[in-house]
Amino acid sequence: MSSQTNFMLEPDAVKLLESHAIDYPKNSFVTAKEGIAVATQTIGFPLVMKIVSPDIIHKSDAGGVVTNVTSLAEAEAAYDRITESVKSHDPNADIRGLLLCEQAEKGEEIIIGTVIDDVFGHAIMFGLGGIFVEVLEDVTFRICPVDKKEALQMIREIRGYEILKGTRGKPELDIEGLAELISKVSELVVKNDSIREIDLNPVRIYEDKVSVLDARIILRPQ
Amino acid sequence: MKEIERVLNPKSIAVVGASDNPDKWGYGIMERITSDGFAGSVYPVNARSREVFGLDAFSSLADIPDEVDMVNISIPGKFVAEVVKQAVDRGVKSVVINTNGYREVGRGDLETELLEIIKDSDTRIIGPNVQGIMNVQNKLSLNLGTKLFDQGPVGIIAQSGSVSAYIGEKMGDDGIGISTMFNLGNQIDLCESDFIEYLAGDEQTKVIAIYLEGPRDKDLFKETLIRNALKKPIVMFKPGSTEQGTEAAASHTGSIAGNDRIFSAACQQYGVLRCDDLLGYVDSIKAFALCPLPEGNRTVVMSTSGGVGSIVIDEVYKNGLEMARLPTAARQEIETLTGVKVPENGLLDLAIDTGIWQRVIETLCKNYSGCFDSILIVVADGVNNVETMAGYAKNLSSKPILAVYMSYGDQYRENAISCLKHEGIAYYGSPERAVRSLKNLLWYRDKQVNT
Repeated sequence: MSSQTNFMLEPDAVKLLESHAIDYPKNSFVTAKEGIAVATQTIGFPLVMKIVSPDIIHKSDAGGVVTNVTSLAEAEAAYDRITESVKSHDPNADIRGLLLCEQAEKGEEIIIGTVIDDVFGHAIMFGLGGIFVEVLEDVTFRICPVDKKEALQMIREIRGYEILKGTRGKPELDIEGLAELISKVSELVVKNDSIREIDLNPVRIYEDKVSVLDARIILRPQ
Repeated sequence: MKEIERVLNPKSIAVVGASDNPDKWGYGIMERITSDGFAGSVYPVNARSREVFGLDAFSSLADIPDEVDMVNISIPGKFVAEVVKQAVDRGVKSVVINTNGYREVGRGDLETELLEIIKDSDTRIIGPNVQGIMNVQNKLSLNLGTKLFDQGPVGIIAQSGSVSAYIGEKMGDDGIGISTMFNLGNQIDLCESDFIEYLAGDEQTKVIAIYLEGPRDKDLFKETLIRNALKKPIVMFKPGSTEQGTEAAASHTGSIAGNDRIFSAACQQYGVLRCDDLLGYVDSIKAFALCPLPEGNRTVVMSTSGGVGSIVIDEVYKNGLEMARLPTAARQEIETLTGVKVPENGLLDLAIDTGIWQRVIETLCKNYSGCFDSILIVVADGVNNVETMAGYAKNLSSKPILAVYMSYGDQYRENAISCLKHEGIAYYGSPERAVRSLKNLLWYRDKQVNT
């Protein structure tokens, strides 16, 4: 994947999602190490720190993500670690700063994404994360927009549905919330024609809510 | 779609390139148009011969004194544009161009030239590089190599002359028949969506069978499917299901997606039945052509054989259908009639006594029709004309009745098949095929109800 790919910086992606009533964990974009102290006061600990650079699309591969940061001292050390690691990965990388996010609790992981199809336009994909998407490709597609009813149909048709429904003593997860999220994302791309592809990966689903933990929004070539 | 209706019902046709030489395409067209019973006037146009197929021939389109509604062109490419010009000048309604050598060989410019010629006129083009069209209702076949198909409720739109011929012939073999067939060719003017729209509104057509490699006008195609798929069943065969996602995709989603997966999703969403094997495709077309839609998933299985009946039951559950639960009174009545206890799984194993079959069918259809949504009739022993019971049930019930006929190679087979065809029963050679076809009917019905 070339570094020319035109994608939205994560803080911008977060703003776009939030403007469509799609929640992101508490977050703050810091452009210098000095900003960390203030940011952590509102976010709290533990938190996740992620590189923000137009040259780094695969953040983890560039050492651009640190999780489970539990104190200000750790956060400041992580700041240096991330920027150094990214520079050694790509000496010319334009580093804009770091996005600090509240660290989410563990939960079932989901991927929601969109692409543009040559014939039908924006299409949305949904599936369970991890091996379900990587190995089994247990995903389903629809043409955008999809309403909540159609989104529920998507959720029911993947093989991993039983996991969301709660199995072997585990409770049912927030399927209604998930359907709403799928529907909102599908409407978002229809309204924003500059978007080429979206990966919301991972999204975590709990009993009472659904959280988008990372957003990659790729724009159409200018 | 009055326009397509006019295209399909010409009172007169000029065949440019008509020939007595069997090696020429124009021979094939003349052969069809003069031997299938087309009632309109036919004007052969040939630069050198004064007579073709025993008819007076004209040296050019301009020389024909009478009105010409349709022109079929199969002459070499360099002469085509001039003929189309003459057609436009004469106010011809449609031009079917068999001639190839256009976009498919990188000469899109020649197509642009043709479009320029018909611009602002009432003349419409089908083709170029097209195998032809067929309107069985008025016995018009411009389709090289295939006789006029039997008349029936299947409308065909195909991007392959071989596939359209296969479907047409298969529908004939099964006693179903077709209404209209459109081959697509390069679709520079009239395209798949125009034909879908037409067939969706055509009263003779009950199901639209499409074979498509890729739509010509993408936006129009999407709109057309959304507008029509739930009005009339569309059964789609589109190759490409082995296509992989694009490796170079920038997103994870893009690497999984692939156009084919999304095509399937769109079909699923809009209510178009996409089939990925030819057998299932033809089976489904047949089911839609012959059966009403089931109103639910409860089915009654009547069988000459307990063994095959059990296989059918497995298929029923595998396909998301279920065995109808008959009330105790119904079971008792049937037990009294047959002398056999209805087993837990609900299978009505009636062996080969047609007297018993009749009484059971009457009981169910007259007194308990609220308890089931479809009937599967399984004939696995060819004796005693049990296959006639499918037609018997059909006369007493407005629900879909599908049959499995599994008696091979015996002396009864030919008669039985001809009886099933005559009664208009959707019959299949195996339980899997019959039940899958029933499932497809139900899928479509659910789509109609839930959308």
